[in-house]
Amino acid sequence: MGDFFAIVALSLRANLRHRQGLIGVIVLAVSIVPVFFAMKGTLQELLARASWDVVRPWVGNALGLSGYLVSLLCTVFLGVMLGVGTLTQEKAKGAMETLLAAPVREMALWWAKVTACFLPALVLGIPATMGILWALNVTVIVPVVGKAFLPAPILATVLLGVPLLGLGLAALVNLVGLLVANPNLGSLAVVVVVIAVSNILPRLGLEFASWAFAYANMAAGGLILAGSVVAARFFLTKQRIILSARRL
Amino acid sequence: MMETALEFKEVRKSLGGKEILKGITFSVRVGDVFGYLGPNGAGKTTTIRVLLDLLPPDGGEVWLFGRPSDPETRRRIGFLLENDGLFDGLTAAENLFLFARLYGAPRPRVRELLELVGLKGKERDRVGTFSKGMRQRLALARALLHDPELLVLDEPTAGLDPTGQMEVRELVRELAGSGKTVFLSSHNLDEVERLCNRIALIHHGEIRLQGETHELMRGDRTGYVVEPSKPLSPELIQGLCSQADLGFAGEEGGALLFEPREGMGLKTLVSRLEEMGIEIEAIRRARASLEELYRRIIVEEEWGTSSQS
Repeated sequence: MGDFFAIVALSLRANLRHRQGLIGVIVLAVSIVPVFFAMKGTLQELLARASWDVVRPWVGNALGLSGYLVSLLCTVFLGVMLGVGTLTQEKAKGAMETLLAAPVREMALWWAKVTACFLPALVLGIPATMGILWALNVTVIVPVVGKAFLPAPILATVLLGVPLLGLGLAALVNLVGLLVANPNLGSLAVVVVVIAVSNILPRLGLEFASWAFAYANMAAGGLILAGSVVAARFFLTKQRIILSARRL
Repeated sequence: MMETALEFKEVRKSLGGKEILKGITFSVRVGDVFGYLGPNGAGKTTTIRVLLDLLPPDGGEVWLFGRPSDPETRRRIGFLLENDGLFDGLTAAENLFLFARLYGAPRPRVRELLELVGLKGKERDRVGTFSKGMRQRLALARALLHDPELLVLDEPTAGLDPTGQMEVRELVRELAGSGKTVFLSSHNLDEVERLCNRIALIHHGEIRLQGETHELMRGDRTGYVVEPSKPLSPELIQGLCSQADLGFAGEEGGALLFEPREGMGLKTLVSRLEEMGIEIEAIRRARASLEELYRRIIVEEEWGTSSQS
């Protein structure tokens, strides 16, 4: 496990200092603001339309959507941005080869890379999501209803479902990044998966504030993670990682 | 018999359907500074990757310190690959701490090595801001962190300015002097000739030549190089040519090359030259330069191949 922790520490430092990581944080901060104002307007409109008992499911759905969007943006987008930037550079400059020539197992390297891009995304993502949900409650719901409203399935989605999805996608993007010459293919794979998930889940008729939606996200994340682990067992070798590096 | 640090036994490796190593066999003894020569694409880097277990061989065996290579024996190797492999986003000390942790080397060793390679005071500087020479020295420090017995260096002076090259060569010389075995892959003939006591030459994935550097450089030459104290007149040169038993083979840069007939020793040659009025400043055994050897094997073969096609 020593190699895993050593590389996690290294990659966390490198990711957080990398320009792409900083850009990711800025983009994220900027994109959260419109989500907040759009949802604030929607919630105000809903609450003005009818009594709380009538609009409650719709308010739950709108809150669920807000939480889902923000946590997805943080854990997935930021995670991918953090991972791809440093991975490309490390492969091209031979740092990855040097690391693999040291007593480092390829699976430990992969898991360390996944952890190093998922952890900061999670650390930023959960407070950001909870912050948005809290701000919507404080500014819109509490003044009208008199109490805060945060259904348990929404919490399950943002605290478990999306992080699991983010972990699966971080595993996928890092695996593809390690195995192919063009790491942008990893980002492309994630975009394809996110589009597929975001298209499939609403078609299933699931409400954002439902347990079914939370479970569906957990299942999707679990499937992607399991698929990545199986693929890594078959394909992740030192030879493949090294020969796929495009030298600078 | 001397202990062997590294042995390649009939190692084969193909990549993308092309055979890169065609059953290569060579050995490096403990204490050797072993030069691994070859043109670009000959298979030098693939050899090193197989040695470091980055690429598994398709056939044959790699032995380290008298037993088949395994993770335990590979921990006794320090390496500097073609690209320095440093993490640009980390500081010099952080780069070393990472590898110290991987190899279980003590932390104070980092400071010690930074001082050894002349980077004291640069610990907190990001490696991305370093010059090529500084990077190479830091990479060497990283290779030495766990005090390895065998040091594998792939083109350690490539891309360095003359000062940087001298610094790295001096460091390699010091390491060799301290008893470390060095495997130096290079296509810099001058560097190999200066540093290595044994060499192997790889071309098209096959070892074409290996042995003691001085033995190989002496090669099939049996003669002497005589440096006269003053330039010879055309008459004297003519006189030398007329005495067939002296075996005068020509003049190169003011030095005279003799390949005397069998039976004529050095003493006789010197007295005959003095009799002719030639004052001798220095005399040495004739030997081929590494460049000459290289040319004979690689360039002539390339010419042969291209002229045939």
